[in-house]
Order: sequence, then C-alpha cells, then structure tokens
Amino acid sequence: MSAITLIAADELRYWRRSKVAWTVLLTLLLVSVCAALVSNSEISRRVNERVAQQAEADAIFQAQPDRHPHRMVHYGHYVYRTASPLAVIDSGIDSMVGTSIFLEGHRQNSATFAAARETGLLARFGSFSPAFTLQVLAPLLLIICGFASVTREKESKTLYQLIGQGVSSSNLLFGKSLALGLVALIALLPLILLGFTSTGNDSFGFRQSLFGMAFGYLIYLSIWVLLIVSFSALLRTSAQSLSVLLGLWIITVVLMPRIASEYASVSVPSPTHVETDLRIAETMRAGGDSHDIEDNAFVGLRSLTLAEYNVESIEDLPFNYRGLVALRGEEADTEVLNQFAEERMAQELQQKTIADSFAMLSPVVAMRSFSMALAGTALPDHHHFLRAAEDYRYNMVQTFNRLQMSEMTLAEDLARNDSDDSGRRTRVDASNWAGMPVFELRPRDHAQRRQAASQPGFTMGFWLIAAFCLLLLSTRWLRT
Amino acid sequence: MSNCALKASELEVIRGGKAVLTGMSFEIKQGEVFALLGGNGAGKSTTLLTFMGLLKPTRGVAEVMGQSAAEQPDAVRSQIAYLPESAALYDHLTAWENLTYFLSLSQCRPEPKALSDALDAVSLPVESRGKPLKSYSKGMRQKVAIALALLRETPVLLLDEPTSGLDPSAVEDFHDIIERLASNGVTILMVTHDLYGACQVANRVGILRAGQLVDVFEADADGNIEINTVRDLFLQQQVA
Repeated sequence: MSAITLIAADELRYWRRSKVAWTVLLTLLLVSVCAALVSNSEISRRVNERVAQQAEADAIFQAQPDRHPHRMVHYGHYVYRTASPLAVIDSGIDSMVGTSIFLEGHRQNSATFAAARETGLLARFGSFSPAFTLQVLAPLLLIICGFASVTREKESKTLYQLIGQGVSSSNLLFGKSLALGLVALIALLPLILLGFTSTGNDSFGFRQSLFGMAFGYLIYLSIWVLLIVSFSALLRTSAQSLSVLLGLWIITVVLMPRIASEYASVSVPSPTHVETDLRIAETMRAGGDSHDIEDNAFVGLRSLTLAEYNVESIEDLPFNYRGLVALRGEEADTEVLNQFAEERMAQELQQKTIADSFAMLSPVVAMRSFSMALAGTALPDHHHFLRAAEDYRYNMVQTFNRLQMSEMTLAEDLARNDSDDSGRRTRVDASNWAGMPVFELRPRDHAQRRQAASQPGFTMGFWLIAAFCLLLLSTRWLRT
Repeated sequence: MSNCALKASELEVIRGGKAVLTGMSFEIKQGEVFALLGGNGAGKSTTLLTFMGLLKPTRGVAEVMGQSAAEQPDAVRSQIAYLPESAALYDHLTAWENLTYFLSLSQCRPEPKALSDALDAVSLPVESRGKPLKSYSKGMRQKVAIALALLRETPVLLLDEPTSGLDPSAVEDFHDIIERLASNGVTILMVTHDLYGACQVANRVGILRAGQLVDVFEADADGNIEINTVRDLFLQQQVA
C-alpha cells in the first residue's frame, strides 16, 4: 500500500475505534437514509394527492352538463403540477410555489402571480430531504469528524513521528483527505443506490440527472473535505480548527444563501400582488370588454369583419359575432396577461441570477442551483409549468369561444336570458368538454436540465480547484 | 568518503522570532554517540528538529550523511530514526499495530519475529503488546518508541530525552541497546538533561547554552568521561 492509502486506512481505523467519530458516522448514515425515506414518503404522498386531485378535477369538469360555452369559460378548470421524480432527492422550490392553477377566461390565476419571489425561494433552510442532508448536515458532520485530522497529529506530536518515517506532508494531507472523502461517500450512498436500483420509463433522462446530481454532490462534499483538511493543517490546535471551520460553515451554509436572496430581492424589487393586479386591470380595460359587442374597442373588428364577409350587419354573418368578439378579446387579454407574466418571470430569473452570483462566495449556493436544476424543481421548471398551464388555459377558452361562434346564432345568443327555452337553445352538448384533452405536463428534458445546471456546475469546479490549491499550499505551510 | 555522519556548521535557527541556535557547529563521526546537555530552552530539541529538516536554519547548514537536511529533507529522513521526548505514538493502536503502521510508512517490512525481538529488547511485557497504548504508562510508551527506532535500522539515531519516564532497570537496558547500536556503526545524537546517563553511554558530551556549544568532553581511552568535571561546568553554565 502507498503512504496515502496507509494513512487513510489508519484514519478510518481511528474513527472506527473512536466513539465520537463512530457516532458521527452512524448519524451521517442514519440521517441520509432517514432523509431519503421521509422525502420519498412525502413526495409520494404529494404525487398521489396531486394525481387524485387532477383526476377529480378532470372528472368534475368533464361531467358538466350541456351549457352555454361562455359559462364553461368562467366555470374554469384546475390543473396540477406533477412532481418531478427527482423531487424525492431535492424538492427545490416545489413547496414554496403553487402547484395548482385555476384556469378560466380573461385571467391568469394563483400560481402565476403567487408570492413565488426569489427571496423566499432561496432563503429557505430546506425541508428534511436528501438534498438538505447533503448540502447542510453532511458538511457539518464532516467537520465534526475531520477538524482534528491533522491538528491531532500535531498535538500528540505524532506528526514528527510521521515525518520521521519519511511521510511527505502532501502524502499526509492526501491520505487524510481520502479517508474523509470515504466518509463523505457514506452520505452519498442512498443517492447512488437509488440510481442503480431505479427502474421504469426514463424518457426524460431522470436516471442521467440522478447520476449527475450524485456527481455534483461528490464534488461539493470533496470541496468540504479539502477545506477541512487544509484548515486542520494550517492551524495549530484542534480548538482553532473547529472554531474556524464552524465559522466557515455558518457563513457559507447558513448566512450566505440568505444574504444572497435578500440582496437579490433588494436589487430587483418585485411589485406586490395588488400593484400587479391593478396594472393588469388598467391595461386590459384599454383593450375593451369582450362581453360587450358594442364596446368601442371592437368597432374596428366589426368593420373589418363586415367588409371581409361583405355583409351589412353582424346579424348577417355566417357565425355568432359575439363568439368572435370573445375570441379576439381573449387573444388581446392573453397578450396582456402573458406580457405581465413574462415580466414577472424575467424579474424572478433576474433575482435568481443575482442570488446565484453569490455562489463564488459560498459553494452551497452553487450546489443548490445545480441540484435543483438537475432535479427539475428549479425556478425555470416552475415557469415551464406556468407556461404550459397558460397554453392549456388559452386553448381551452378559445375552444369554447369557437363553440360559441359556431353552435348558435347571434340572435339566439342575445336572447339567451329571455326564457328557459331560449337559454336551452344556446346550450352546447356536454360531449364537447367531456372529450377535452386533459392537462399533461411534459417535464423539461435532461438536456435542458443539464444546461441549466452547467453554470453552477462550473462554479463548483472552480471551488474544487480552489480548495485543492489550498490543500497544496497547506502541504507547504503545514504548521508543526 | 568522509566518515562524518552528522555535521552542524554555524547553525543559526530562529523560532517564534527568537534566535534559538546562534552559530552552533559540531561534527559526529559514524558509530559515535554524542550527547548534548543543556538546560531548558538551550536549543537541544531545536537541534534535532533541524537535523530532521523540520526547521530551516536562517544561517549555516545541518548535514546528515553528507546531505543538507534543509535541502533534501526526504533523503535525510530516510537515514534517520527519531525518538521524540514524549513517545509520539497512537493511543488507539496496540504496540504491535503502532510498530507495523509506522514501519510500513517508512517502507520497512520486518518479520513478526523482528518485531517481537525489538519489543523483547526494550523489555515490554508480552501481555501488554496487544493492548491499545492508551492503557500504557509513560515508560511503556517510551519503550515502544525505542523499539520503533531500533526497527528502522537507520544509520543515524536522534534521541530526545530518551530515558525520560523509564524506570532504572529500563534505563540500564536502554544504555545497553545504545552501546550495541554504536558498536554496529549506528551514529547517535541524543539530547538530554540526564548528566549521568549521558556520561555513561556517550563518546562525547557537549554542553549547550543559549544556542551555542560551549564545551565538549571526550571519553578517555577506557571510554569514560569525567563526570564531575562535566557536572561542574554544566552547573556553572546553568548559573551563568
């Protein structure tokens, strides 16, 4: 065996025989397994809940009786976001943002304008998930295990003995790092096992993403391992080493993500819900009320349509003009709504970019972005859901508006409230919504998730190189 | 090739901003036992650490078998077995495991019998050898450290207060070991407070004061050093 493996093997033997280290190792393993189980159970519960709720919402919607199509526009429909399979590892912002949206005409509801501000998204300390364990607890346990890995040798003077046996300082520090790295692997074990044992349909490359996450966490924990051994080498006593490393953990893991998100929200302030609603209402008012065919906003539409069909009045058109107004009105409303939604999403992404720039000061900021991106639980994935839901809403509403155009005359439509009989004449057969396609969210594929993870991945690479350089410097400055 | 095993030339070493060695010079021939006597802070341990290449002199050179300790520390360390003042061994390992581990680090692969013989030579009780060192007395730990130094079979042995913590019988055994090693050509530099022990085993005794070698006594033709003269000078130096 080489000196490095001998030193690593002895370090592991020391931990095996030391009760404190043994307790830490067992805790690490236990916490990792518990986090995986708890998270799995929680996500399964959420998935089942959402699937059941979506099925119920679909059933209720499709069971609606014959109705006037515009009543269906306002009756609306719920859609639910199904959790990414990797939310079991990292639930990301899932718990911070709405996972269901009520879809109806002329509005984009709930999740789109929910308080999903970056402040809240990034500042959270995290739920008890494998990601939380690996990002927050594992470094702490590694510190407890390894803060004295080199200082112990100094304090007991065995460092002299080691050097006296011809052990170079680099071999010593690499050996210590190797041993601590093997401990870190214990924390990664559930993730790796999950990757190898997961079966079933993998059309979105979740297994690839899972191995990508495992690799990312390996780099992240390696950064900590190198920092821990370096500081233990650079400082004289175990007390100094523990203090400095705990300070580093508090600053980089606890404080920095919060500072990052606070700074991001201050730098790019988001308007409040009420402010946004008022601005939307004001802009939409200018576009007219599509329930009123006499609204001045539709004068141009009327002239153009009459000219196009070469008729004198809207009653002579071969379709229900009210339906056309509803169709064009929804088009205009959606343009406004989408403009505000995109503006809001751009702000959130801008906040995220600013918060992510703190990754140069804290590896956990980079790791969080990397992990959420690959898990498919990051902000862009939430935006993907919002856009998909909006597409579905728009198509659904316009389907009903077309039915209003084609399934009744203008006269029938205008007289719909005159009597029960006239109301019945404007009702459309229920089979029209019973056959509507259900909402199915196709997750972003592996390539998109990988691309989103590339920037934080590079930052972690930078951290790894920096930590390795510090270790190399420590071999020169190893203080006896 | 010179038969000088250890050589200090105008050695000056500064630790913590203070000059601990201030131009010390001496030479030790192969197979010679040289004892450095000195009070606390005289620079005894610093001398050994400088020969180990653990401290870099600000001036002068420390050479081991013709190689500079500061410039070729790895090469020098392969020629040296070092016995620190407090036996620097692992508490969580047994005597046997400590020996095996440290020896494998220095690429030595002694037979189990050689390990047993070394532990026999330092009179470590057989029943203690399989127990972790945390249950050992200071003297027992020192015996294991001495056994380790012996097993390295290096041409140079650096000993820092080697008999500290040993009982009188073990001290006698240790002196026998030193004499046997010297007769086999091993060069030994020991630093100690033990004036009597030094005069008993050393070929030469040097008095170290404030980082300088102030006097050296050589053994006569019968191998004896006049202990009273050394003691008087040593005490004089301490008072001064």
